[in-house]
Amino acid sequence: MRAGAAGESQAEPSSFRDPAGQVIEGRDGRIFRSVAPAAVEEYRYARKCGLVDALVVEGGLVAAEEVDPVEAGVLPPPGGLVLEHPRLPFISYPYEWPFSLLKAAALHHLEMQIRLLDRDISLSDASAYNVQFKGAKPVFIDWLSLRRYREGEYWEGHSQFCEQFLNPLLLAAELGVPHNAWYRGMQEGIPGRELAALLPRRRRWSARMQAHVLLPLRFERRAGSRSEAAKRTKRRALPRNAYRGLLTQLRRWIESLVPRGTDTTWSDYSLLTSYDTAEASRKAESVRSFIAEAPPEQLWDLGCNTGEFSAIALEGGVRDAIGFDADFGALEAACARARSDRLRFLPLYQDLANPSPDQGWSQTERRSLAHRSRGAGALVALAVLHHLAIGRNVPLPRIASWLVSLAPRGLVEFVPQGDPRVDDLLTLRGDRFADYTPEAWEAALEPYAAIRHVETVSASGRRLYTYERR
Amino acid sequence: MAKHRTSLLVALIVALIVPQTAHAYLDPASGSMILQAVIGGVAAAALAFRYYWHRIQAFFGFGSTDEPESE
Repeated sequence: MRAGAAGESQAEPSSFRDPAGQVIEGRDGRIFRSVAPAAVEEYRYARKCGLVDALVVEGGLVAAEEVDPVEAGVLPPPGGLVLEHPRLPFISYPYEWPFSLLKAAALHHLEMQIRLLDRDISLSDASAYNVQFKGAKPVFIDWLSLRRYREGEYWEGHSQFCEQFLNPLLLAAELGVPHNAWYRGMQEGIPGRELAALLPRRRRWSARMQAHVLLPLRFERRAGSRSEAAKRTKRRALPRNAYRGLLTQLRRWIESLVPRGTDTTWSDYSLLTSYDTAEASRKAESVRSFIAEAPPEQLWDLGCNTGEFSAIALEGGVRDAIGFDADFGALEAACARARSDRLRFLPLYQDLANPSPDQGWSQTERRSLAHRSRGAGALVALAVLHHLAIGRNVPLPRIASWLVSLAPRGLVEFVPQGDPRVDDLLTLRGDRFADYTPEAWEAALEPYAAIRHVETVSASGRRLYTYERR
Repeated sequence: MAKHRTSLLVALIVALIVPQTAHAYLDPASGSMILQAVIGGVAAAALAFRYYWHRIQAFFGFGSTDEPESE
């Protein structure tokens, strides 16, 4: 399927596996989905179901409207059609989701499937990439996964669901290892075989661990080949209540999962902040006035911690705040804040010294963090600089050019030597950071951005810089 | 509960004779498919047991009390 005559429309590079259709980014950033003729009937069938509209109203399924292909500038093949979706604020990937967001996405997927199955609709796959987030609320985006349920059919997405949702969650819940780095490497989730190799013996003997992780592996080994497996499954149907049973069992199981060994850390989070309340309120005030000057639609909060400043920015008129942090405990607290206060705040895992790259098929399928920064109208980076400059040895000019490349405006905190946090980083290293000074930071920023405002916010000499890209 | 019994019978027939073919672009992984075939088999056996158990109960006249008078 090709983009239309407009010439400016672009096929979304992550949308090519499903022959049923393709997502296309049109002029002005509008998002279209062309539906292949073979998939039109399934689409119409799903559309007729009242539940699908209810899901859209609840926000669990992205909206979709049929549009005139000529007006859209997207030409579907003869007999096909074109849908338009509202543009999502930010596309994130499962390897960027903290545990509780992956869990929320998994439960949303299951919940949707259970409700749809009762209305004779099943999902053709279980890709975690079909779930996105608005704030911390999951939204399913792939309309063409919906199709008519055929009595007796198998849950074909079961193995994909396990690899992309269940196994990564089990990695954290059973073994205390966050899924993110491994998932980023594999992209399609964590294979059952690899998880099984790590499971301690006492964790293997539960019915659900056997059913969803270990037995399929054993069956696969025994069958030897796909054709042998096909022989064994021939002429056997999965009754609808058994299909539903698989879904509800997984839902119960996943609901009960918590990341191992992190629960104590989260609860202490409010105690870990290093600055006193006067300093915190000055910082909050700076964020407030930075946002008030020109409220961006989307704010990036680098080193978001528990999301305190994102919440302030949202109050000040920012529509979406995307937070990034490398601390899983802080991210869990941030997710809890986003959920309980119903904020349009999406906290994501990101090691800023090694952010998400362009990867996947032809290295365009999953986009780098930099590539997705187009929507960022401004950024705040509070108590981040020293982690990069001292913790990771990144020279200040490189940090400056990188930060300025992400968003046209910024509010950045410089934490000087002598501050307890920086001194702590330096304890075992000796003072080899003679050029880590506010003056050096200003000189580093100068070629890329105009400094608008400088304010000292702590007795240790922490400074907040407001700048605009040159 | 004639209606109940009919639906059991229908489910049983479906479970036993409807041939299943994959119609996804996704490779569903053989282990998971065999697992579901086994679950399907167990479910079908359970249904068959329930169906015949009802009939045996009815035959000996000690069936469930919600059996309708007319059939």
